[in-house]
Amino acid sequence: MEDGDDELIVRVARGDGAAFARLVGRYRARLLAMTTRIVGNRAVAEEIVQEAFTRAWINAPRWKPQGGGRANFGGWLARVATNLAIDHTRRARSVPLEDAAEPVDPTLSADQALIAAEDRRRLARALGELPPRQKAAIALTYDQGLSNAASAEVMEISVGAFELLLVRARRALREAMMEDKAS
Amino acid sequence: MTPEFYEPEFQEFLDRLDLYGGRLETWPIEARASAEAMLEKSPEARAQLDAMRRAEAALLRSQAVRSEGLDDLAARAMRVAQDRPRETEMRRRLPWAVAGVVALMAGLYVGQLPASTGEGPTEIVTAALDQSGAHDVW
Repeated sequence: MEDGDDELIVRVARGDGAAFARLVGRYRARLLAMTTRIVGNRAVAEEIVQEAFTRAWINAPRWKPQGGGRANFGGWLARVATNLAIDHTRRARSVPLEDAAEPVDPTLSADQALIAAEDRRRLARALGELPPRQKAAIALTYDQGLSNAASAEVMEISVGAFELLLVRARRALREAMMEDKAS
Repeated sequence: MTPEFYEPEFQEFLDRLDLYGGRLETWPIEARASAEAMLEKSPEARAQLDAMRRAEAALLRSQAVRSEGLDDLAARAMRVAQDRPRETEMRRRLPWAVAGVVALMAGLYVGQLPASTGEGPTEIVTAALDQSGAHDVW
């Protein structure tokens, strides 16, 4: 049976590198996807994720198991990474999301692949113009797959305030798709 | 722009679309029923739903490409984390302990100073005024 986060953290607190590796392995992909979405740059996102894990290692001896398993530690980790990413984005100039090469989905026809590529460009442009906290709302919802309540907890705001961020962000993305279509 | 943009019902559909996203099956039942009715009659509503779905599909597709090089990241994170010293309970309390010792020593030092002359601030100010002749002016 898979160890829960609380068990792994207790072992990490004792300096167990293997337990730490398992936690890193468990969260790195989602955390990196979310952070990249917010800062718009893979290299910066990697540094932020690295820092979040470093803080997890340092603070492990003070971690109080909360019995909720993955959600609690994962939520804490997401909060650290989100705050670091938002802080970075506020300090840095607005940078559009990298247009990383995307593998072609073999199930798409040539026309569909073209439309998908165009949609991705539109999305990158619209995301690049969102305020950092709205980007975070999108990242927590679509990259972390968190509910509104869990996302609000990560961002340390009320559910209503989170929904407001998400609504504004989604509206901007939807309108970007419509504008491009109109033009 | 069609007149339906100004209809409250259409605006409500857009508000819900932004709140719940493009997957109608995840919407609350009542909201879904009214959305389906709106979609039935409004091409503009269908276009807006399609735009939201395309945005969400693009979000999910762009997420999928970000898994390369994760092993490097994991190794680096572990190396950096394990090199950084942990803040143990003793380490965390050390500055307070040092401050406490300094305060204690300062207290002992002050306690050993010679006793004061017994003159209070009022007497000192009065004496100074007497010397300066300020009373004459006042």
